[in-house]
Amino acid sequence: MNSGNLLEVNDLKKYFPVQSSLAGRLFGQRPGWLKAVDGVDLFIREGETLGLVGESGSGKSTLGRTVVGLYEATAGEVLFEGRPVQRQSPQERKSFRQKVQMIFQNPYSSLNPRKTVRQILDVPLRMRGVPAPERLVEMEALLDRVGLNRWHLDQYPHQFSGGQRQRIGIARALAMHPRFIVADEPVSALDVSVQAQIINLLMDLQEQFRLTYLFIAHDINVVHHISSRIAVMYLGRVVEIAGSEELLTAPRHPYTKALISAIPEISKTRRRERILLEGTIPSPLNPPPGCCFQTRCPEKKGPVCAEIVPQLKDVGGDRFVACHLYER
Amino acid sequence: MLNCGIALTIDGKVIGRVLDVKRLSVKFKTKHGVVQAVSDVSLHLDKGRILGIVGESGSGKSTVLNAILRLLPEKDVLLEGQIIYEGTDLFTLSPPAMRAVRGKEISMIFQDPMTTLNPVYNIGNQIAESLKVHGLYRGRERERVFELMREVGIPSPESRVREYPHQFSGGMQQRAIIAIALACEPKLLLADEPTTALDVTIQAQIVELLRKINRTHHTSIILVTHNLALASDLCEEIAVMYAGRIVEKGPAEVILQDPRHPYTRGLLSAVPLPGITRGTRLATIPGTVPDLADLPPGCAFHPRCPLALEECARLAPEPVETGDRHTLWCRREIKEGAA
Repeated sequence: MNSGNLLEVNDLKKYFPVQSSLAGRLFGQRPGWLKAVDGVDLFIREGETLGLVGESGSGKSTLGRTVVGLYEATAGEVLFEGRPVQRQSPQERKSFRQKVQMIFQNPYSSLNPRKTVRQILDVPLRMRGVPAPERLVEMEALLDRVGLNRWHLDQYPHQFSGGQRQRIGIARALAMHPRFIVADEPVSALDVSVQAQIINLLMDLQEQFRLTYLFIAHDINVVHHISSRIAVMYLGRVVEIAGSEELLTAPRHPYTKALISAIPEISKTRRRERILLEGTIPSPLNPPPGCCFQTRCPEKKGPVCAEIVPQLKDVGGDRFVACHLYER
Repeated sequence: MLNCGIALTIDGKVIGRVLDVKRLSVKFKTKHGVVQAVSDVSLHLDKGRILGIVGESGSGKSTVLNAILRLLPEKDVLLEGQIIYEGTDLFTLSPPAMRAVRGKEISMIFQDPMTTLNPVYNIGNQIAESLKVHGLYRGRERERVFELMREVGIPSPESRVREYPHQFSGGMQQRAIIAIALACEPKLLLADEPTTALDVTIQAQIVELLRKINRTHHTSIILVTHNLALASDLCEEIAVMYAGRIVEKGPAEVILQDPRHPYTRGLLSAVPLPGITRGTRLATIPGTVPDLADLPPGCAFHPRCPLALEECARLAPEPVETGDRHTLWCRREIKEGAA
């Protein structure tokens, strides 16, 4: 365990049971498993932003939720401040839940429509033990910090725009004085001009409160903008981790290469050659044997790809790649 | 004439023009008053060209497409202007004549593939439906369906033709929808955020497919999207909409490399660019999009505009041609152009 790491994830797995049909059960078919996260290793350094990208169904949200403890891991461990999360005492658990917060994707469904902003923000402040007279002062400071005003306190979520709702969600997370925030697609539901406001806010808050982020999104340009390092997920596994700049300019894993070449670019002058992938991401109910990407990989090396799962290996320069092409 | 594509001008009449939208306005009558969704939009499209309409949610871009095909509920909507398709004003057509246009002359691809397809009919029947409606390929519908499925890249059409939408992935569903849209070989394809619900690698596949259709059949395409980069990738011309109006239009390179309207500039600088903006604060446009039921007077963008003049709050913007088919609607430009 490196002392500079706030969070470490070792061989983390999250499987969801899938009910077979009644007919299937009558004929003795066993329930299957959906392998949403299937053996992920990563670490997040204190004060950095680790971006997590991947297509829908790659398991990035499940990973985020398992890390904060919204899902119980099937196997593997999560270390926070060097202590395993699964074996926490009740006091440790309470402090973990305070220090680790989440910002959700959909600002329309992550706020209770029947509660005013005052009621929404009151809960975390009460949990933190802030006495009632001080709560109002803190609420006003929080709203001010995220770019809202005190007269918003008695309004309901439906009276706000998408961007403002996302600000309320951020204020709610900040109210707990967290060290680590998992932001799960925090700007995906927002329009471009509002998206930029929220990205700026998240970056300012990081600087002011020395926050560490796990920033999950499918828009690589947004992730690249805010992250120091980026992890790429495919079918429940991390296939590559590298510095933000290096990942975009010199991707190593064949999937990362294809993913980056697929991003439409505004500039017409320096067009990258596009790698068009065949087909779609396989079902996590029935993942292919060997490398998770072997069914679509344009650089498949041979039978080894179909037989052996490549492990995430340090390839030097703070980069990790899970691909047989980089095995010696 | 350079930069003019296939359109030729003879005695001032343009040959090869597919669509001419003239001063289109769309108002919705609602409980809360009249919502001005589209105001005074003029657009034209020549044969074989691709036009992009870019804007944020609520800018009226999808409403323009729906108005072109008259898909809006007519009793609650006030339409003004003309939609000239190959010399005929679509607003003057009777409902049966309009039905003959939909799907055969002009067809549309919608945003969400899951809700566009009917879950209780198999893919083959849904592709064949418009052939039957328009009485095309009589007796050869089945071969035509296979041909279309191959063209849009659905593998093993012989077996997949009997499958239902839920058995298709999102990308395959969108391919099936494109096959439906292409069935009658329309001259104009309206694509309303065709890749928004899809992942980026699948988006790249669909963009390539649209490009191929445009090249092989010379189908004209109007692409509506909120993604500027996507529009720059596929379109030759771009119109930027804000609060129901076009604020700037012109060739894609001009709009993206040298935008003149403050809104377009703001929108472009708000997008993170790899290698340029990383770690810096992004430029933002303060405030939010106005309520279409209560639009500000004058230019709808003036409350958020960093360059607004005093008169912008009173007077509607006028179009200014800056040359090279580039037009913008901004009072400051008139002032500075004259100065």
